Amino acid sequence: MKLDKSVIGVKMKIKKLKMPVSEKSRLISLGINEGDEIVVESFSLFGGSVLLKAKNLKVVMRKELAEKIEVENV
Amino acid sequence: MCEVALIGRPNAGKTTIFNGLTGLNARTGNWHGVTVDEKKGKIKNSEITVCDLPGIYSLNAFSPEEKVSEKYISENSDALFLSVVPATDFLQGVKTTLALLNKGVKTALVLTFYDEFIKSGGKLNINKLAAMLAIPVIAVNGNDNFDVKRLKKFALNAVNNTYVHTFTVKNIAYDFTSVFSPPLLKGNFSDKILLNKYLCPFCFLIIISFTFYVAFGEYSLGVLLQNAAVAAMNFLSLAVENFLYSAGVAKPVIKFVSEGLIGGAFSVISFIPQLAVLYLFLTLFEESGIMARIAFMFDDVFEKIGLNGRAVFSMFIGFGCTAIAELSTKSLDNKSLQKKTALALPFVSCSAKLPVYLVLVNTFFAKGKVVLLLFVYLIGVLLAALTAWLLNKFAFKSPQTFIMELPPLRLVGIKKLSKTLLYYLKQFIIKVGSVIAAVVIALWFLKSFSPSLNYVGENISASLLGTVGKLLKYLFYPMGITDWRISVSAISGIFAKEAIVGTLELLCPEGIRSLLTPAQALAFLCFCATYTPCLSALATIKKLIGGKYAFLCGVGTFIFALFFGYATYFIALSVQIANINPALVIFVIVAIVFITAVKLSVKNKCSNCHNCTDGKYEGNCKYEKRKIS
Repeated sequence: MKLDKSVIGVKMKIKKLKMPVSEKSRLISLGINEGDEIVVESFSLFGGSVLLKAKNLKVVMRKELAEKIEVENV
Repeated sequence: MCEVALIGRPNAGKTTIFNGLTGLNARTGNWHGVTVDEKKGKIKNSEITVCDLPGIYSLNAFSPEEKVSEKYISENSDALFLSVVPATDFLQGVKTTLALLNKGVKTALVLTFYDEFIKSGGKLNINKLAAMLAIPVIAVNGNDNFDVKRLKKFALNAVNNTYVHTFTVKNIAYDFTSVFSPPLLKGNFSDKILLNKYLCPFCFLIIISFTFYVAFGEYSLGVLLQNAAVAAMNFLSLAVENFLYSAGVAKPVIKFVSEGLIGGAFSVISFIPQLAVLYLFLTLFEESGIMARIAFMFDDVFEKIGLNGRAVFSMFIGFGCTAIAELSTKSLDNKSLQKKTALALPFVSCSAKLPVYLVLVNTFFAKGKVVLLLFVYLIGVLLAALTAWLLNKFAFKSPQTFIMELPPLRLVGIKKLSKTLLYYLKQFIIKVGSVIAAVVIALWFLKSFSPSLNYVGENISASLLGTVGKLLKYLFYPMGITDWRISVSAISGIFAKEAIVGTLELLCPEGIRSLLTPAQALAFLCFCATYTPCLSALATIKKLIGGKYAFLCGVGTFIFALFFGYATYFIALSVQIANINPALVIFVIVAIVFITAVKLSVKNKCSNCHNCTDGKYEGNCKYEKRKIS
């Protein structure tokens, strides 16, 4: 399942963080980890960045990175 | 070495506590990465040093500021570490506390935003938590004097060892479910507007227009305050001059005091009211969390030129004052991003250039005034974007991993607002103001004395400045400009852009219509829009990214502006000879630039999914995993 505009507002679960260790550790230290529930809240003006809501924090990241987050429906 | 260190996640409220403990006015903001280096201060009425460390997400450092904190912990293991954890984000923040405990350092937990946490329905049993972690836990509101005093007392006792507590090291996984229940997450109406991609740009335009109007608009607060400051300084200058005359002081000394010293101070003070208004809004945006939302929304626009969302605000501040915009680049992610932004900013037309544009446009192009002004502003933006893109391509290419925690929207208290505003103004007056004042004094000296150091009074032509102007006038010959007064005014603009109009008025009381033709005026206009930023901006660049870059920026923009002026003169002359409508030429240039930008941005888009961008995927659609023909 891809994190694109079709999933805005849909609650999903992170299946796997498919990215280099440095980026993965960054997300984990921010509070986003495998097994967490996330919601895509919004996209930036031209859709290049994505705003994710996980637990009680909101995190902004580039779409390329967000696409490395493998998700599944809750 | 510091006896007490404040450590925790970014935007946890460490600097607010630091300011409360020390009585200092360090910069704060509702924004990730406000503190980029360790700050030191003494706890009020004591000899104990407290250190404010940059925010960290973990003790495994990734960013430069995290490395500063990590290094500090390893080198100062004897210090008392106040682990600052926002109660609103307790489960994530407490991880740093646990990591510190595992390192075996003396740790106490300081809970911030506790009121906000309780109000939003969160529950936290502080006594139970303290017993669980076997460390002191203190809930404070950084802006509350009583809370800060309590924390100060605790820190003093802990450091002086009168506070008896066993700091135990535990290396187990904690379960906080018995002591903590998270706040209820409510949908925020303001966020629904600010994070809507259609409404956000609209709101942003309104916010920026309002800020600019209040700071620079006719009859606005900024202008009214500036007029009052100008009147007060004129009165002071006249009073001092009269007093010195009546005391029988020599004329050059009187002129030095009134024009040099008071004039130097005046040039700084006249800036302050408008800057204060601009800073006020900047602080409001930073502290409330609006800036973080703007950064998110415009991130992909800036990605195309090698910057990221955080550079948005610096660019917009650049329309007001380049020096302040340069200062604001300090909060950017990494050094290369800061360098790109800092070196691109001088092309954005600051408000000080507007009087120059108005004088030239009103005198020579009254008919197409608005179009030409918009064109000049657009050129500035395009050149800034081009500079950032070129620097990204050839000099400072850095991986763009834009990950940012979006802070919650918060109301900003008057106390906090005024404290931050004072901090900004202090920075400007001390660091930038001193440069401007020194330069104005130097300029007075250059225009008052001849090369043989004789006082020339109002005969500027015979002064050092006039002599230099006569030498430099040859640089303007390819623009068709042969009058030395134009080159002198351009030189004075390097000190402060406001000086161009003043110098022209001083040197050409009959007006500039007789000095230039429309083609020459257009070339000079383009030169003024793009040449060397003022010395205060250069001083800020030097302070932020080094003297080498400040020098390159100063010389590079000057050379570029000269050639840009020559090219403009050539085109304008050709258009004049061929008798083509200038508006048509502007339209054609804008159209060419627009089409090129669109072509560049869509050239590498995947023809299959229309989502993958540039050469990263080498023509392979990453979704379909097939080669695109």
